[in-house]
Amino acid sequence: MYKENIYFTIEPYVYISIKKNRAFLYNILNQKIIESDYPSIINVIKKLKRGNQLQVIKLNWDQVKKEREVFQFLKKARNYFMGDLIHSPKAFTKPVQLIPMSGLQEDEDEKKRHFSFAKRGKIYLREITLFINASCDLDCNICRHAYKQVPCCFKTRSTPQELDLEIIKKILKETDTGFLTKINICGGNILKYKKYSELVDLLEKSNITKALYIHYLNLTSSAAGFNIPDHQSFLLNILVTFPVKQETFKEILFQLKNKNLNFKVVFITQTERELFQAQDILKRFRIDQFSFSPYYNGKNITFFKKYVYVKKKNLLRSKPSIKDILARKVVNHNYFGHLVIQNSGDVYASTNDNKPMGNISSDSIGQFVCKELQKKNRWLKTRDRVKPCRDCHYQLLCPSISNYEYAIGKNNLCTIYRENKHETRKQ
Amino acid sequence: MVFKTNSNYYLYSKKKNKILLIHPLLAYIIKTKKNLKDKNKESNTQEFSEFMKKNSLSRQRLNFYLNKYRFLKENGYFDPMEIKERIDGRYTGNIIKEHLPNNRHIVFEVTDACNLKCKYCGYGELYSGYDKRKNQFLSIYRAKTLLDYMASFWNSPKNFHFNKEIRIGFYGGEPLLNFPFIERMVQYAKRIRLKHNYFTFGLTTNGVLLDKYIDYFVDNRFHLLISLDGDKECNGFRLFPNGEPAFETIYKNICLVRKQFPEYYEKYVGFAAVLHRLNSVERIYDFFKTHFNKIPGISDVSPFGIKESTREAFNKIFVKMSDSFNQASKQVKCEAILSLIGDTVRKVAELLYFYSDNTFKSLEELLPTSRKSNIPTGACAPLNRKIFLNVNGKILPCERVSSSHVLGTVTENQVRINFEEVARKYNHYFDQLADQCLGCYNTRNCSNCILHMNIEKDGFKCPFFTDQEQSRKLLSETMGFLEENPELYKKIVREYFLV
Repeated sequence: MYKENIYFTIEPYVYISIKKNRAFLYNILNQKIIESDYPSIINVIKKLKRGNQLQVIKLNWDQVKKEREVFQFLKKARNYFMGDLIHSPKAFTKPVQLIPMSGLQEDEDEKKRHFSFAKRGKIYLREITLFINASCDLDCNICRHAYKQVPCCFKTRSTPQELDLEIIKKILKETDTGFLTKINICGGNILKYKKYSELVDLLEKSNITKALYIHYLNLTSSAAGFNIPDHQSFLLNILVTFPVKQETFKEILFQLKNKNLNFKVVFITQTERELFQAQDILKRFRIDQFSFSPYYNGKNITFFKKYVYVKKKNLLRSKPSIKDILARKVVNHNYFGHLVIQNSGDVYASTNDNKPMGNISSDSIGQFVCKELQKKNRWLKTRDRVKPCRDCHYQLLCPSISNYEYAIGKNNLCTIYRENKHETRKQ
Repeated sequence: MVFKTNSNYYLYSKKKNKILLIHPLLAYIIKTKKNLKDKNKESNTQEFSEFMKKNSLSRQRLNFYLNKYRFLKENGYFDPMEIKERIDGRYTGNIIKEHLPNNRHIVFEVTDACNLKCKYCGYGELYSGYDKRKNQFLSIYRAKTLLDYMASFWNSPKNFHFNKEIRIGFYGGEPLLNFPFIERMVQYAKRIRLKHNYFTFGLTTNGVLLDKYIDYFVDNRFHLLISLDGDKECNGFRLFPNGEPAFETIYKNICLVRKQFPEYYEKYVGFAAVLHRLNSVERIYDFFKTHFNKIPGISDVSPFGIKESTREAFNKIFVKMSDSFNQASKQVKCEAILSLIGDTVRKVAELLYFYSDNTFKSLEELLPTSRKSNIPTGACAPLNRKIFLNVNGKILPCERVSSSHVLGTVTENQVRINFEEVARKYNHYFDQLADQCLGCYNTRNCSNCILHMNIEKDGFKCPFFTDQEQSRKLLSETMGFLEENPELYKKIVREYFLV
């Protein structure tokens, strides 16, 4: 008989996942992981998560000593600073840990959750994308579909061709609550918008970030392209598709720098070759504000597997916080709080939606927010609701489902399954 | 900061805002704050050796906890918190004006007259700072003017709610002395078209006249809050002006409501009891459970605004909530705890909410763009949560503050609020307090209202200032309570809402 109680605890900064009789522990602070399918270890971890244990359980030390695997697990957990053993006199109260928890994440709270959603309305709106027009004189090969994957321009013959300025005014007025943080302005060629100057004047009055998306070739044809305030709240996204007309690009870059505009070059790449070309351009023109937007064209899955698919080590190194992890259980970070309004006024939760939720001329922004929350279409599409991610330990370390998953037609754009298989074979 | 409950050690990291259970040896290492550059030198120090010997601890174990200390240190667990950024927020007139479209509670002081003369009444002989009671009725025109004014804000695009309740509350004095006002205002409110909200109604009453008007309240689904302090003896401070006890009348009326409208009673009727020397938490619970099958809200007699001349009389009435709670039986305590009622439960909720970035109450907190308030103190944002219109047409932040804290006025046809002036007044208070807040260990979870403090007084010292020792004690007590009641953790995160 021991004179003391021996408690085992797992630290609150450790993410715990148990799926299909396999446990996974990840220390957020030092990225160490422990995985096990040994039944007694699973039992210990399940007990830690159970009811009111709050990640502290009393151990039967005689039992532990008999089971080498459990003993080794406890030792490993300590060595990785994932847990500890606390010796405490028998009369003392059992300690507790303030474990990570969100009042929203439990399934039984679904009703309550919807109730609170429905009551909060516009408070959740963070970003709006406005396709202000749909016409463009260019003929890029990505034009019809790329906007469904990455923020960029598109072309359509649908009418009306332009989103009325009065409607844009209405939207800005309605969202002027301090919760909206970003407006994306896309076209068509936005410089061809009939009331472009008035639109810029209107946007200038708002303090939130305004991200304008313009294809670099459209900047050559109109002086209006540079009619953008040099205020830091305006971010000009210069879209670059391949092949690149380097001399034209050079001239545009010169003008952008000369006018001291806040801009970023966005390369829409489909192949490894284009990626290398983009890197050459970056080097040649000394561009420091840039990003790559890979575009899936149906034929370049190899490129995506190499450059877009997520690997285990990427996820572990991404160091998500407890807050990130809990949030990923509740909302989809790529879509949540984002509405898309097309040139026709039709409102969507995502550029991938086929059917609009309605038209901005007939409903308020608040109503669209609530509609989306009740439908649970995009904003709440989390990995724990979809196959095969729902069975994966990494589901909450993984970024939320994005447009790429819809374009490629599968949810797990990762190599985790393959890596796991490989590791199992090695063992 | 390391603190200890009766049984266990914990580390509170101010920078991380997280509490960790720690081994006693790690607690000792943190407390001694040794220079950890030279491990051997340190472990050889006499102090450590003695501690190890006394506790029969091995060198291996010491090294493990020294490494753990370094690990936590590298991860910022011992970094100081920049408190200044938490309290440097100030209001502008525009910020305050933007509170109006999202305001969710209007309370009318229907009359300042009352048919009772309770000993501890906030408008009675113990207190100062309220408008003199003249048995007046609130002008219906003033109330309508305020409601019209608010409706224009509620219907504006700046209202970010959707399908959210706005409560119209009726308060007194005893509001049922001016029942026609209530009837007319409800009728008027029902005619107002709200785009984003809907109205509900509430009444705080002493229950004396409830039998006369109950049909109306049932029809209009009024949320009733009846003030009652327990059984006849417990209710000894709630008297008619002639000194006769009011208990029998109120009790009879409540029984009538319960019998005639059982469903309404279950859903819409609540009780508020005041704790004082004639009752106790135990007796209040017992009475309401036995007679009405309800758990009442309990508050102590307000300690704010007491006249110096009546301090002694107040002290004879006043009983501290935590003292009475501690004296209650285990069963009552358990029931109260499980119903998430009581001071200690509130402290645990505050601990989880303010001292632990591991718990998240709402979706807003989980979003990457969530913002923490950087306004010092726990004062409610003016005009945000509640607006109280008193019988003299003064707009006050709520019914619990002195009428000197007027935010605006309402005449028969106009609402006057100088938003810049309101901002200036609050900012002035914050500036007066800022230096004290900087040194206070309770800054993160201050829930104290600046309007209850006498800030303008020379040499003002915040009565709630908490030093390190007090903070350690508070954390120890609260974590100790949670150790005893671990089932509270999940319940509080899911169900408790701090007001």
